[in-house]
Amino acid sequence: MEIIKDTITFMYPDKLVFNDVDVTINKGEIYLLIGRNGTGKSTLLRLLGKIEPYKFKKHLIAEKDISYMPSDLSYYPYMRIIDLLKFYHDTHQNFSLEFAHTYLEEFQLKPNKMIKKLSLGEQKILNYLICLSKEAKLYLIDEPFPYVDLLNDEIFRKMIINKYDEEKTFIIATHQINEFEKLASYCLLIKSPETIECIPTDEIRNSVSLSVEDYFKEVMRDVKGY
Amino acid sequence: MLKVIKYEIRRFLKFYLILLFTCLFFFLVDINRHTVTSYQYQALIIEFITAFLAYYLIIKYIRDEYTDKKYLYIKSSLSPTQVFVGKLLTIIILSCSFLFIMTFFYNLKLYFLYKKHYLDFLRLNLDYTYLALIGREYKEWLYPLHFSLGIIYNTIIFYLMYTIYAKRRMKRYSKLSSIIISYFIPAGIFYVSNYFVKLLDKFFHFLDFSNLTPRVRAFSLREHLINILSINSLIILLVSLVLMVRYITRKRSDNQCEN
Repeated sequence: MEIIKDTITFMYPDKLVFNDVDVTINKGEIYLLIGRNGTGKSTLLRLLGKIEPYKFKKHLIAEKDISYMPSDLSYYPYMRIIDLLKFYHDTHQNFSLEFAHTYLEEFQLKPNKMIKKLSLGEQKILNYLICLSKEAKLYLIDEPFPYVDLLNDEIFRKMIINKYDEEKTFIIATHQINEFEKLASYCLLIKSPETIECIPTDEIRNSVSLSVEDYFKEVMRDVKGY
Repeated sequence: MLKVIKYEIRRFLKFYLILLFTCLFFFLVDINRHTVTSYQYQALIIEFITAFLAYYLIIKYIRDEYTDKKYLYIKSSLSPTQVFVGKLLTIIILSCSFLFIMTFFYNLKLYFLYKKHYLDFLRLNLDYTYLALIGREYKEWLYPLHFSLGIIYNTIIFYLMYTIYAKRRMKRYSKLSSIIISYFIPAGIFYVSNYFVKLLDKFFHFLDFSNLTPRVRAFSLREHLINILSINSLIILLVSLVLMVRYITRKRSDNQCEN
């Protein structure tokens, strides 16, 4: 079932990002959003998350049912991790403290640690944890992997599997395709301002002898950043 | 909204306490009764620091909008208006509490002087030091309140200007048109409110408004009134409006919201 469908045209004052490009998002799927630097991955996520003002012809997800993780998120430095979780619990609907605490232990993050003392990787983990602790229908995750170690990558995937059901849709913008390749049902490849290809990952695996990451490396060689 | 206030006050609490205790320390230590000017200027410094605190907080909040902190309240169960009002109240609570605490200790210092060295107290000549309440009638105690009301008023106007600008930019109006509008709406509010002050002064004698006017005069609201009401400034205002009206509705070329 389609939850978002539109032909998007969007530009910043000095740059055309999307020009009459068709975007369709189905319910209950996990999408990988792929593209070269500066092609508009984060912009597309912000548009789909209604953070940039844009009137969609069809967008069935309410504001409160969207959980968005920006690529960078800075918190108030006075806070400890536990304070931050309480802050989200107080100010965001459907934020599950229980879920957050469970995975906090798994990531071996101490609840009393000050946020300003967290490493870049730990901050990224915290962003991801907060995004997934919210009960939502559409999860938009922008670059979850930089600075995160290999073992935590595994937990990232496990969290999505635990969270997933047919009502929830995930869109993950990343350059580390291998990490989510097995989970993703579709890959959205931004080729140019006019083209976003939506390719089922199974199709790539069955038709080409290359891995999904190698396949996209081949395809993206022809795509230039713009 | 209370949640916003709670977290925002906690955010600035450390800075606030350091500022407060530093000021208290220097002001309370400086008790040389022979330096008349120190007593007069201390009241002025309290006013300056209070205004500094209010503007510092506003600048911090405006700066947040241009950093990743803008995402903190995104998709929260609070409406943007609740977050806005919460932040505004935080600014008002912190700056006014600073003013009242400092005024209290300043007057406590004056009280000891009043009791122990009355002649020195008289020599201080604190008639035009509006934060000095010792030796005055209770009615005159409203003067500091005037100052805090002034700060609240300016804070709201200043924050309103920014909000109008930000909202218009969000709706993709051009930068120039947003700046013009964000200046003209508060200018209108200033005009009306100053006129209202004058009307109160003129028609409601029973309020004994003249008692409060020294403080109003100290804000030079009357001077504002004279300037604003003068025909010259009205003409300038009208001409600028006519000249600028073509920019007011100009939108950015990337306006895709109308599809």
